[in-house]
Amino acid sequence: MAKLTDSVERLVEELSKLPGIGRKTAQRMAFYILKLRRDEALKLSQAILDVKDKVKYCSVCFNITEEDPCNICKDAKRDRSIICVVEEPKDVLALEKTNQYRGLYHVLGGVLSPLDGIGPDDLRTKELMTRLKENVKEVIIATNPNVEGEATAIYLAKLIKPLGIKVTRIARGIPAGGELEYADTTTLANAIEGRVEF
Amino acid sequence: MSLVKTEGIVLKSFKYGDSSLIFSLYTRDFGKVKVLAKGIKRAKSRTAPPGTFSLVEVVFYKRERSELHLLSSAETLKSFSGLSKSLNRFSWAAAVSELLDQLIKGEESNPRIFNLSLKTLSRMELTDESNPEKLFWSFALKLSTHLGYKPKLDACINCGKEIKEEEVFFSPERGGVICKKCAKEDEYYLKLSRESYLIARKLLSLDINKADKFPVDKESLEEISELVKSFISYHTGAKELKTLEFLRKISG
Repeated sequence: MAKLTDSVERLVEELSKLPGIGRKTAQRMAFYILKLRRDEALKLSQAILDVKDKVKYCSVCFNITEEDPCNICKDAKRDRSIICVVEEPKDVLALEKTNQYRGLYHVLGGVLSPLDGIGPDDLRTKELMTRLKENVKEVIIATNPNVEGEATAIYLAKLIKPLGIKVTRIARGIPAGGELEYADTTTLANAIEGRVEF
Repeated sequence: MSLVKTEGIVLKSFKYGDSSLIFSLYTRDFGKVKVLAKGIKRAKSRTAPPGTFSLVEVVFYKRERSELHLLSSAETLKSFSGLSKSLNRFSWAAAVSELLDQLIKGEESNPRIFNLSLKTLSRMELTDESNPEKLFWSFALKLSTHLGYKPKLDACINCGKEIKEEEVFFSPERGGVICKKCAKEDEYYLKLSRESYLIARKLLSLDINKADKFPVDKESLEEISELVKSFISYHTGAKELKTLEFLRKISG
């Protein structure tokens, strides 16, 4: 079998480590990079280095950021009395896209999972409890609506409620543009249970 | 490849790619199976991903030459959502699913194990906060029985006579209790108090729905857990459950 030159081979190997990228796709990408102009290739390599060097976790909310505290935590226009608790930084991104929420966030870094040995001490619960001392009126728990996310939500609610802070859970129900006929029973049941008054 | 329909309990799920999940199910008709649910995490998916511990009716393409089958549809029959109501309950339910996952190797149907697991989870959802642990050890004893390793607790494993001593010896290796007369000096035994011994017998013989109906003190529960763990690990080679380690971590 004809072999690629050593440096191309190395590039293919590194690229195929990326999620969802097999050897064939990695090869195609490698050849694309091979054809790039030098400055374009540099831009790519610099971008990779930059995320490794510059991006860190915000010391307040644990979202990913280049400046500490992050832009959301620094923003004076945001409502500092509401904290939305999410599992991962990508959840912050998803919620920010809605432009609906103007409060702050707290990224837990996962959910409780006995099967993976992840307990309350492995999540950023202590940090959350410390933040709650600063005039927080409401905590919205926005962990994913599955068993682990639900258990985490209930665990947090039990911790926070005694402090006299309002604890809410994001609603669950029919997706926009969806049809009742095709919704699964669990979602429908939740939609009925979580109905709101007009 | 044939399309089959059965009921199953969700033991575990793993991510597969961006939007797919692989479920490990314990089914009524096929034992433990793994099914791939393509695209189930997408918002457009018509099937909501069933949660851990839930009882689902699944339709899947059963492949003959592969251990990974393809999920066609899944409908949650019972979600056991009460199990997430406390960390303790949630963790013991996770221990049930982990033990099933560890001890059951292949696709072999065993309706008795299926019913036992279902009953255990249902009971765990409703029982008092302090009871899930008792239910778990009772489940583990009954599960070993259905798998063919019933521990002999009613009489001495050697002479068959009733055990009358205050301190009871249990041999994990021989799978039963042994009276003082028959016990050998060079063999390894776990020691149980008489009370723990009697409770262990109850947990083994009573219906799982009744296994949480009598009080058990902490020491006895500890002794019984040692008995069950050493017995199961000797006979099946099972490793210590991650969930038990987790429970120790959160309580200590």
